[in-house]
Amino acid sequence: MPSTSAPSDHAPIEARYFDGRTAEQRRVRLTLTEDSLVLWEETGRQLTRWPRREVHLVKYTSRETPQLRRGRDGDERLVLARRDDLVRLKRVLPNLMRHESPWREVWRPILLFSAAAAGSLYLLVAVGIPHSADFLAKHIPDDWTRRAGAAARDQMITLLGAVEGKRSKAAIVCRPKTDGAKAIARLVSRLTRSTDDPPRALDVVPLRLKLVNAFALPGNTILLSHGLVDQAESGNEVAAVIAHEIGHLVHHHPTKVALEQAAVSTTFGLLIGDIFGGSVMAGLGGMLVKGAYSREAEREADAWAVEAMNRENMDIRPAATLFERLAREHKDIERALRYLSTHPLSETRAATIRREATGTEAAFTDDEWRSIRAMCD
Amino acid sequence: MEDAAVDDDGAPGGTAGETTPGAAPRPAQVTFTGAWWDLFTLVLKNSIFTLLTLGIYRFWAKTELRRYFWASSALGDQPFEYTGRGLELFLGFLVVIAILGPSSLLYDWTLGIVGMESSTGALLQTGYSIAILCLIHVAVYRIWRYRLSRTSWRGIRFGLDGSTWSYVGIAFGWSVLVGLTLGVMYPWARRALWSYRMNNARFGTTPMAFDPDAPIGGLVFPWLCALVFPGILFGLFAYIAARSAIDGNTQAAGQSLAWLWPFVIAAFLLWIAAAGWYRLKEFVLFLSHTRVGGEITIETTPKLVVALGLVILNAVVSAVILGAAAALATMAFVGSAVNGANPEPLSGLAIAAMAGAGLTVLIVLPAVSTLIFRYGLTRHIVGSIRATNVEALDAVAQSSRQGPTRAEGLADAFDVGAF
Repeated sequence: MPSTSAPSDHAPIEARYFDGRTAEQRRVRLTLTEDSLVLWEETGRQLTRWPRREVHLVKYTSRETPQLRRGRDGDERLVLARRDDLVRLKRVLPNLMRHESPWREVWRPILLFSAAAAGSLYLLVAVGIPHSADFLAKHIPDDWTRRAGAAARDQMITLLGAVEGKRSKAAIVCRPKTDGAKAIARLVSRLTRSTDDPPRALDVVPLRLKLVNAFALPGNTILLSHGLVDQAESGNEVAAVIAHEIGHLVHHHPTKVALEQAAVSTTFGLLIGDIFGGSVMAGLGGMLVKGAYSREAEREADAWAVEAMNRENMDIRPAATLFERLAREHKDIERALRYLSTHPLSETRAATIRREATGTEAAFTDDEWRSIRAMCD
Repeated sequence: MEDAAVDDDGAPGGTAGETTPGAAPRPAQVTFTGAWWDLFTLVLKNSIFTLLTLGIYRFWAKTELRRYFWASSALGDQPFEYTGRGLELFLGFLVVIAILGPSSLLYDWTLGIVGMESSTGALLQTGYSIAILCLIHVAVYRIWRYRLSRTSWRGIRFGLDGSTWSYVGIAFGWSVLVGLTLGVMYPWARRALWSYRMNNARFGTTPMAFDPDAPIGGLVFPWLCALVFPGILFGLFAYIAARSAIDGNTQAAGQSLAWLWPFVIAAFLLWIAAAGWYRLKEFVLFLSHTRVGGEITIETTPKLVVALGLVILNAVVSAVILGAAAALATMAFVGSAVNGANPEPLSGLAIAAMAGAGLTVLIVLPAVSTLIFRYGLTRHIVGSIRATNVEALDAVAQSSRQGPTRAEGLADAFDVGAF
């Protein structure tokens, strides 16, 4: 019988041993020394030693046959013959139930990579995507955006019409080339005549809808809902809104937003791990991004509109009353949730406009204003 | 020093290498020893951590689940082991993102510019779809290679050699054939792919083999049953769509066709049952014609009733959970309306509802599915597997090949290989 100098238990532990080189199993006996677990063959020959600190229990294996492994990546295995022996070993093997080093193996990588991932995600969504979208939007030739814009325009018109129960495009889009449409076209050329790089083939499309709004779309299209014209108190209010939307087009905002939305959806889709799905999160993410960064876009569009109308000596102050009227309808909700609103507070916009306005004249003649009001009849 | 009386085998089910001379070799039973409660605590921990790390933890979560299922399956009395690491999965993910991210973006933007209806756009979309199809097969082969190299028994690792691109070529060819025959050739395609994988797989240095002419006749009828139901469902939906287009009002058409819905649900459940039946028969056939080292054969006898019961239970529970998520999402949309120059901002309730819906789909649903379906099915099927001639396994030697170090990034991006 081999002699041992075990500081604690004396009875050897029976086990089966796999050496990691072949699948053959061997019966061994285990004894403990000061610093290691010693494996003895049945013939009495010492087979090998496992340092005590390197012995780990293999997770999730059946409690009836506890499996021990050596080190982090060792191929050798020990299978204890009796469950109770595990209890004896737990007392003397300090790392039995632990990872090799939980901080280094598990927690530190998770924390580091999560932080890095969160950081890159933030950089990407807050800086990378908006800047590249902005750059691309300014440099994409107009021809390319016009085709994308045509698709967007049709979709938008259908969507807006569906909200009000109108289905056919003919019912929604007002007749082209009316006197009102011509008056608006004249306004557009006056406003853009001093611009360095005016949007080409800018088209204002009047829509027979009750919506009080106007939209700028890629491809240099402005959708103008007649609801806005109906509730306007003067022609200059409508002119100011049109100028604001032209401001968006001059700065290529619609194209930029379209590019951003695509980028954010793709990013969230990849992050979640399903490149085709992830729409739920992507949608939410998209709304947040749009909300946070469009405020700047709105300010730029306002600034351009003020400058353009001032230059043509048109009075932009009525826009302030328009915004205030609209703000009154949404007062509390808008103030409480400004970060998700896609527009700065209407009151701030109104104050800015009043401060900066220098023009004094009407944008349309009385006849023109009348024809604009009758544009969709 | 006393000689402790030790039982010869030390565990139920028979020990490889311990037969009495002259007796016929007993088949060694594979047993499933995992406790449901252990899985429950594991899934709970995984869900919480995944949520807290916004999904980054999912690689470690997957790894832990595999460790549990592998270690709970024992051949003879020796459990399998999964030696993969979450870090490997995570690095695979990062690499693929770096490549797929910019290319998907570029594709999106180009398609928008060129226009989906134009001929260039159609060409682009076709090309992209083919590329994705090929990449999915790449992902499948790499999954098998990674997982086999991280699976070991008695300390000896499995492995998969062969060439990924040969596999993709074979897979692509069969995909075309399956497409051309409207899906009828699917069982043959599956056999061909299983054949390539198993004939290139090994346990240590001992090669595994699969008989490529395994009799597939018994699979044809189940497969045709499974194929019929999507056709029926498609027909039903087409009918509903056509009616609503003619009537011009989706809502009214929906109500008048409400009597069809029980049929749709029944067809859907029958489809799932037929597909489950086919998959089970396919699994039994393939496994019984797979050998390790020429001598060791495997047989498996799972019960169809149990498997189907689990499949349907999982489908029903998943549908309920998805329904709850959909209800939450609808609540969110009803509570918000965005319009151009003067939007109504999202209310706090709407955001919470959206987050709740996302959470339900991304975290709750997989967790419940794992606890019911994966546990139940694995336990039943693993418990029904037997291997013969396992004494021959004693002679298997370890291979020096380590296998891939980064893993499964593509599979993660395409959501392939759910476990």
